[in-house]
Amino acid sequence: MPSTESGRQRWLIAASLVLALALTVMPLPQFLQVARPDWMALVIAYWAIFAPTRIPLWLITLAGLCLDTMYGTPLGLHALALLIMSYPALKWHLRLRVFSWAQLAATIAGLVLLYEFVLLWANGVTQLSMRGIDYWLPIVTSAIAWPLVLYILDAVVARDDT
Amino acid sequence: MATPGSETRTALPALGLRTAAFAIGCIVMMVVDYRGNSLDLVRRTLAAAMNPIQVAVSLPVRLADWGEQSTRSRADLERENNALKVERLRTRAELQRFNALEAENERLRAMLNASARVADDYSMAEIMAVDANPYRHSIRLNKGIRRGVSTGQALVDANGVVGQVLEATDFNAMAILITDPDHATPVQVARNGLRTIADGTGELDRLELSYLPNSADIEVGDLLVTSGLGGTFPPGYPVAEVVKLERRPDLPFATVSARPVAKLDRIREVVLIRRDLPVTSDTVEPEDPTNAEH
Repeated sequence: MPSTESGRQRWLIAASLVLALALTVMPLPQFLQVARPDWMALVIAYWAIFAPTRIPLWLITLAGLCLDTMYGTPLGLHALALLIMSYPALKWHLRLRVFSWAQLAATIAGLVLLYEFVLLWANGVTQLSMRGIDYWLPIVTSAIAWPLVLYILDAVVARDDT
Repeated sequence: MATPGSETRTALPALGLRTAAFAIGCIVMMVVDYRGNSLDLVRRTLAAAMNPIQVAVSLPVRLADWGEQSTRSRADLERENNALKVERLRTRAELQRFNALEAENERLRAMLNASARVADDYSMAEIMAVDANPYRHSIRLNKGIRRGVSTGQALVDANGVVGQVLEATDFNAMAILITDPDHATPVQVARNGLRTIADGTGELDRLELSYLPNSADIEVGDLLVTSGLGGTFPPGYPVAEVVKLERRPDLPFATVSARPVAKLDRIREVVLIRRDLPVTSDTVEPEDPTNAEH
């Protein structure tokens, strides 16, 4: 029984990552593009907190490399940001699980801030120009989008468990 | 504590160490990828795997397009067809004159012992309805290496220069527009041949000529065409029109803004210019100012 269950969850994780990639490139109106939530970061944070054994580091790295090919950034940039972001989530997943709804959203905002900060730093190193205050907008929109991710993935996982 | 917690704690030994190892791996990969193209195979493999996602994402827009196309009335189509016929006749008439001019140009060049211009080869590509980095003016084309697209190819639309291919992968390609803040287009003023560089600004309707002295002979309304320097853009394609000009004696350079003539916010398909042979030697400079830094 446990083997089939974990197998199904593995498929679920893969599907959620592919969906996150699709949402990352989904066409949006120009003014909304800068406010796009970091879907991949949210999905990986979810699995890191609620199923840390099922999301190995190599999978996080692979997801980051996929983002890099989509964005045309140097390979490893988004992977590095995702790894650094998921470290606290993996490390303290037990504490995070007992957080309240709002506390968790605030923590997620902090994680996305870390993610964006690593991206900004690495972009600076490779001289890609990113400027303006709206660069930090995805942190806010990610925190807003987080309950949605939480609700959907929780619902799917719960249905899967029964 | 629930059972999954204790289970995970034993299943993940030395998490910090492993994260550090992966992070260092990523940094090494970034440096290697940034310095050269030895990771091309990895990138191309991943890009090929990503292609279905991109195609799927752009599908709704394509379906909407198709729906719009297939539900148009006969009268509409007839009207469009007529307009296109008139347009075609006019362009063909212009082309006749152009052919004669080209032949004359060739003869004169032969007399001057200058090398002949290379004929350009054109192919079409559609723009996929896919967004990526909001901080780049980039577009994704639905053709890749398999269909003959290569990195560095110039893109034009019916009116003027659009951009260049930044990265071609197997099934699609990413191109940056001339308005990308990291892009610079070598141009010259069509009226007098004054050469300069048009920098992207990050706004779709504005380019900047940053390196023109106050005394430069340039006026509002001047057409800027590609100069062919740098080798990426073939010479003679219209790029932008000067719309604003400010000469301030206290500044070393004039502030010149130009509006791209290509309809960058409305393009659906682009024409790729392929040049199989190197550009004529008298137009190539060692420095390549068109290389987008990334």
